[in-house]
Amino acid sequence: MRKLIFLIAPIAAGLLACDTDLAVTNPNNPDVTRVLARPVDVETSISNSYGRMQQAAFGGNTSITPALLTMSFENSSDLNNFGMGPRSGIPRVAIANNRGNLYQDENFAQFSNSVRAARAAADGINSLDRPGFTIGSAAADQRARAFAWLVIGAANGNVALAYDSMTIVSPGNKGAEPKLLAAKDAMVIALAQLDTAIAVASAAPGFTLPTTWVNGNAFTSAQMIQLARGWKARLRAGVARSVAERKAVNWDAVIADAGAALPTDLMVTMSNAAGSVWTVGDAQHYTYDTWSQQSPIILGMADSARACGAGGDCYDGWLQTPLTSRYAFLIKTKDQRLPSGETRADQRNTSGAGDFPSPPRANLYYRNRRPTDPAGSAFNLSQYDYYRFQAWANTRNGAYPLMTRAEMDLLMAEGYIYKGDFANAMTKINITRVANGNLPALTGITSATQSIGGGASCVPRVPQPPAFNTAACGNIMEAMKWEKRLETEMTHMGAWFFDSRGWGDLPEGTPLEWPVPFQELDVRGIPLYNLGGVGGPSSAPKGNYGL
Amino acid sequence: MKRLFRSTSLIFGVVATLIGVIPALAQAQATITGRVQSQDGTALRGANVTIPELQISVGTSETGSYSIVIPQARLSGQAVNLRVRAIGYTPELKSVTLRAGAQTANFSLRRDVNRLAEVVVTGVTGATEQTKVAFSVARVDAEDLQKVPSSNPLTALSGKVAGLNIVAASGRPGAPPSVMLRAPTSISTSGTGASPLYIIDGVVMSDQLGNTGGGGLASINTDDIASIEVVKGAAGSSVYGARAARGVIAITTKSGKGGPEGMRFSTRSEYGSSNIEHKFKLSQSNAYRLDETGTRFCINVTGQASNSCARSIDYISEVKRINSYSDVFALSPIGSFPIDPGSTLSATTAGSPLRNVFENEKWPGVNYDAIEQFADPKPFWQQNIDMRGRSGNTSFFASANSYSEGGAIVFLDGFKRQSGRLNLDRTQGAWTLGLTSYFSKDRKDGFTQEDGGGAFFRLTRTIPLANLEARDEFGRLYIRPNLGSGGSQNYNPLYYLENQRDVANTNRFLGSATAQWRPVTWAQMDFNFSYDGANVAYQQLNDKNFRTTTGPASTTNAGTLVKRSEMQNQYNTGADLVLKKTMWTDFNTRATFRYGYENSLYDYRRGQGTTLAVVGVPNLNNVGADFSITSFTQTTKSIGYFGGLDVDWKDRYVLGGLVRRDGSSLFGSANRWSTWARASAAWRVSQEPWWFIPQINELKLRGSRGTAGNRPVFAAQFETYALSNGVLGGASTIGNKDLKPETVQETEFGADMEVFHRLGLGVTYSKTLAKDQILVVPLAAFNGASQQYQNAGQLDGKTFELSANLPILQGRNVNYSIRGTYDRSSATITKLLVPPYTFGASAQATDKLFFAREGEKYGTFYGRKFVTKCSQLPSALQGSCGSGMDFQTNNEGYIVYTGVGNTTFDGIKKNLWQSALAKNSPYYTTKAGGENGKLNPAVNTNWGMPIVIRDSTGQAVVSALGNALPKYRFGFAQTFSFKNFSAYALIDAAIGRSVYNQGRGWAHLDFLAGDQDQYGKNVEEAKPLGYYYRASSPDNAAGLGGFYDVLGPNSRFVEDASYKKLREASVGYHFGKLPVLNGDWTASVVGHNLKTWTKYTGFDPEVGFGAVSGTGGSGANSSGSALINAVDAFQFPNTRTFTFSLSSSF
Repeated sequence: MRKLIFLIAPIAAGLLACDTDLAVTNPNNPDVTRVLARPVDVETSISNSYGRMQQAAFGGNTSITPALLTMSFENSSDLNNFGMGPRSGIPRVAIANNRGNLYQDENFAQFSNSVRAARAAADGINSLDRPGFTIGSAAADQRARAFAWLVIGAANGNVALAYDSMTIVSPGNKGAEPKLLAAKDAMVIALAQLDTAIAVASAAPGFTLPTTWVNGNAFTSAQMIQLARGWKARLRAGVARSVAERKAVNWDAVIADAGAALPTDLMVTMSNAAGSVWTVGDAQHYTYDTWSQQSPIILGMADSARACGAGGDCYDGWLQTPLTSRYAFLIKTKDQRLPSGETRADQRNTSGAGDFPSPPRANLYYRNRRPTDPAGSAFNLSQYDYYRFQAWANTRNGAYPLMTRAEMDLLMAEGYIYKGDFANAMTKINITRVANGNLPALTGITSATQSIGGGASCVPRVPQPPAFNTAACGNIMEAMKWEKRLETEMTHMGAWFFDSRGWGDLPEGTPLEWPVPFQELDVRGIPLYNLGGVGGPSSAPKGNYGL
Repeated sequence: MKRLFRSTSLIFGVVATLIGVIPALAQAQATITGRVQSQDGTALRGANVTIPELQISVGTSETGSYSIVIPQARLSGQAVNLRVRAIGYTPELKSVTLRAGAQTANFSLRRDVNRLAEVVVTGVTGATEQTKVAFSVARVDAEDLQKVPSSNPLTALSGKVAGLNIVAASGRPGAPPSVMLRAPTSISTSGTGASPLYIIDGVVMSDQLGNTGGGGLASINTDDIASIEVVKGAAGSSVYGARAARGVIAITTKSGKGGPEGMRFSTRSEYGSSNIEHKFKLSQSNAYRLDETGTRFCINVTGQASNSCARSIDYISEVKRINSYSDVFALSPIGSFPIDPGSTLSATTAGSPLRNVFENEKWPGVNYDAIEQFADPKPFWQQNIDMRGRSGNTSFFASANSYSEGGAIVFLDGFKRQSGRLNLDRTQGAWTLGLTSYFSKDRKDGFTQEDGGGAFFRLTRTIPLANLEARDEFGRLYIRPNLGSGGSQNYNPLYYLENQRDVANTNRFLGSATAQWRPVTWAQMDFNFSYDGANVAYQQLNDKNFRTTTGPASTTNAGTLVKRSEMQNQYNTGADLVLKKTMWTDFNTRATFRYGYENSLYDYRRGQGTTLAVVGVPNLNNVGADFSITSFTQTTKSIGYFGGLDVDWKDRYVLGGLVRRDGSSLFGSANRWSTWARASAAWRVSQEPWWFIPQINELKLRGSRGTAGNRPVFAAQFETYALSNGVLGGASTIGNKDLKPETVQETEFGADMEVFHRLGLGVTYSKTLAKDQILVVPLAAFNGASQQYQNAGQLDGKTFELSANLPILQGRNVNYSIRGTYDRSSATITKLLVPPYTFGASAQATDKLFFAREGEKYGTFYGRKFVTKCSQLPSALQGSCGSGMDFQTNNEGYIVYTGVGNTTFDGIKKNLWQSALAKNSPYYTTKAGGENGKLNPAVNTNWGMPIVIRDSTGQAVVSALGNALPKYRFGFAQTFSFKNFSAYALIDAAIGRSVYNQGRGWAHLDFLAGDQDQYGKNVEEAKPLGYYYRASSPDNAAGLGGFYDVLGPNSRFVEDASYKKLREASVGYHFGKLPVLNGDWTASVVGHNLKTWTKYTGFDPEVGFGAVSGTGGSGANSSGSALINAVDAFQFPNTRTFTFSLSSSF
């Protein structure tokens, strides 16, 4: 027995001696307690949220943004990466939303990241609302609160632009797991959330946002309100899924908001530092010339009229050629945003290994690319690619326009056109048409159908029904669309797409919106569904350009 | 070494003194002497003679003799058992009465050809003879390992253990293989890796080191190994609890225990070389336009028609010109080629090269074999010396090893390792003390040459005209030997191998100390402490002025530097109490109680940057931009204790049971503890008195049921917010305080049989229910966080194993035996509490290879499928499918559109490649949105092109393409010896395994895959470029319907990777003592991976992603094993190695 005690004793001692507290901490990632423990943490969390909202919508390539580009001809690429090629083939096909679909990550990214950005901002407001909690002063609290509402509204609005239904995030519905709302209903709430941001900021005038909140911009409360008004204008107009809905938009409100938006471009400082949220998903858009080109269907509208016949080196010849046999051609135009010259060599006018036009011009938005054109369907082959932000793309550092004044002016112009106020519309259109395009100002337009005139070199020249195999000078609406496309290209998510669906320019069968990604539907136990495709649900009718 | 030996002995001495067990000097003693020999009269050296009652153990000398001296103090005229055991022989037992004076006891041992008498220690509660183990424990001895010494203990097991599935996923020297024992037990390893638990001399190895760290066992010297035991499932591994559901591989290293007095040295030198067995096919032809001389290539000229050949160039001169540019990048080539995959191809244009150009022109001038230039047989050598011996009560084993495996790739150094070991044992009265220590340092390189951006990738983009070894006038390798477009894809792979230096240095120390105290015959205490410490220093340098194909590329040309360090410290300590008692003569009982504690710390740090200030300084202070730093630390604490009871009666009926309780910091705070258990039984039917088949001398039926677990990863239970480079991101994971380990319940039945004392057979069937699967569960976006780890699924598996041993000839001079193994395993997801999801590997476009959903056979590849049967066409077309009809089978087995009156051979003769099925054909629907049974007009059906199976909307249907797990595996070994001559060969095979050959598919993009080479084909069989190019619209508007599927898997590239491999072979001659040299000499010629029989078209069918923890695939729910992630995406192939080995002992 004594020996048995000796035997058992060491085990007992071991049991007692060893550390039985099995809890360990995670030193690698903070939890909510640590993230929102102190007032400064809450403020930091809110201050990061605009960047996260921006990044969710436009900051990465694994998103629907590349497909939005190609579906609306903002850019074209037949590469399958990110769904660019498959989404832009003609005839258009539905967005497959089955489990394991090729672009499940892209389809899901905007949805989830935007909602999560909104949730982070909403959590910040909930923290501010804790009894007795303050960042340090009532003004600081209101600044953070107003900014958070701005982010929530913008993030929710971005989702409503792209998806057919969604969950609205707000500070008050945490944990309630609300049902999915139709996009148009959700947009109403998102606009109201932006109104809340404006109201809170108005109630606490005099604050200034630190420059890191909207990177590089020390916005005053008044300027933050202008930013919110700009968001309201963009979202209210963009949510329309059809021509009829677009026309039915409250254009008075759009004109008012756009007029009260920032008077200059919203230039946000981007950073290529690791971990930065201030990024633009640009790789496939224009950084690599083997990845993309500029579709002639839109850019060709700048080409001056000349007789070249089917297969000839001009826009009309291109239009007269069957879709499957189209080709790259030289655009000769007076619009200074495109390269000038009578030959490709003239237009290239390059020097050095960088292969960029020389001398550079601030208002040169496109270049005649290297002859090593990328592969593409015949329809997308082009001599041109995007150049405007190429210098920025070399470093991906520095100021980048995310909401241009031109976008606001042209939203106003659109509203004026619908309202029949062509004088004001012309004024707004002419701002960039003249200053950037060096095109003759529009004058004397008195109806929406009236040609802008200008003869063979008018810009734009638009494919004409019923055969769409010739082009003619466009009307004021087309002039507005031309300006808006050129001035907003690559500046925000779906810059061309959301406009084009409301203008009726998308090719037949183009999905007008994305289905709620299957990942979210699965979690909620909702059956999966696809959208788009010729004859499919939520798809575009035949477009204004004959496609 | 001597000093260490001395000091360790001193420690033992002090300990012994302290515990007061120094024996009294003998006055009148008993001496037992004798000789141990085999049944054919051969003296058995190293046999172990023991008196268990007195804990006395000695070894036999070279002549088989032994001598035991028993002090008077321990003599009482008692009867004791004198037991003799020798590896490969059946133990013998004699009863002797101890008395003062001398007596003799000789033994003649029968060969234990089926090793039924060998003792195993893994999975059981104490050392147990195989005949009494109620579940399957495979054991491989040094004798088996040394026939063909292997660089890695795990690869040494290939083909030798039924139920052990192993894939050397990367042939990079030092890379760890993926191992899976029986059926998979985890749907997702969630970053834990899928490896079994590795134990070396009781040291539980930490599995946290990443790919560069060696993944566990690469640092172990295989010459040190005495035996490897493999417990394949939860029924056997219950004793290890929460981290053993994937089985246990336990290695015991050599010791001097039981050996004769004195010292013995062994040396072995091995020298040889490694090379690559297979080449994959690259196209040797091109479709570019040549001028009228047939030597110069046409290029496009702006303003000229693309096919005008207005200008031509000499390829070699142009390559030289652009590469000899003095700056850090190559110049752009003049113009572009008229046929260029990157520029002018059009799917829809009539007359496009895709439809009417055939890749059938040989390249002019000197052609090079890129793989020959890439591969470079490298030396393989190792030197090993060990000594073992005994001095009194202290025995020892020490070894030193230097190992170098150069691999087979030019400019890479491969794997080098130096190691040393010292194992000490001392018996002192009731105490037995043991100490093992092992240190290794190794160096590996070549990590970044795999996958999509590495040298192997670029190798698939090398044309025959490219001389990879050519250097410019500055002595630099050409950076762009291929003028075609494609940018960085056309980097010279050799340039990367020469200039991208990435090296990892690993130091590892493994040590253990054990003490066994046996104060009475029926009880003993075991104490143990083990330690595993390692650190890895990794560096990747692309020095300043690193070249690029175009430029300037500021960050690349300015240099990049990555430095990373990993450190792990893990210790385990524990105590066992074992009580043994024999009652009522034949009723043996053993009760075991154990307590164990584990603590591990892992620390990871990484820094990187670009834009180096100066050349040749791999210091992070030298980087000037793009800084990125990251680190993480994790601590794990676990406690486990168990109690077990094993009984047997008359050696016939064996029963056992145990209960284990585990607590771990890895479990959720509300579920810190979990319980595991096992019950087992065996019946040795042949030991029954009524047994009536004497020819079957051994028949054991066994069954066991047990549970073991898989632990969550460190971060799984915690709520986490993203944090990166000083930026706080949003909520990432919601915490789970209820998280439990996965519980694998295994039921195993089997039988072991021996016939005529010769033929051995073992058969085992196991069924597993792997419950509480730890999965990353997606959350509704509304929550703000994207995921939570939950116990949310069940995976059911089953395995059938068969092993056989047939010693055909057993003579003094001639021996010939055959061994074989066979197994088949499968697993099905039977419960999934999360929405179905896809998962895959970490290479581009491989993240959706597999489905997780209820009823899914685990490991099934999914992707597009090309129509090969009429029944796969839309129903409206099926009646028009067959010979002479609209849809016919071509000479590659694909059903294509031909049109009535045509055959698949008419494409050129009738100019049909230009045509397509008219959209107004009745095969197409006119209904908007599509129509079941008809083609959707969004999809072109081009003449002669493969047809993807699609639904009515035109979307490609995702179909099952094959399974990563083999249908069955087998190993077949033969050993023959005649006098001093011996020969051995092992063939192992995996049949019915599929591999996604992404590399082959990707090469189609640049028209460089061997499939695309049309040279020598007649007009009936030749296919145009488009046949191999992109999928047709709507998936890709630039395609006609070809096989290149933008990196995604399809039925063309998910290949049958069944193989049979001559895994090991050796021929040896035992010289014995040589006139001029001391020692006992043996020379042999050894080969590994000598010959592979397979239809697989890649380098090697043994390939996959994810051999190491955390690298098993993208997305959180990845499989973590190359055995599942069977993707061939530019990995190092396994090398074939021939060596000459010379060994001696003296």
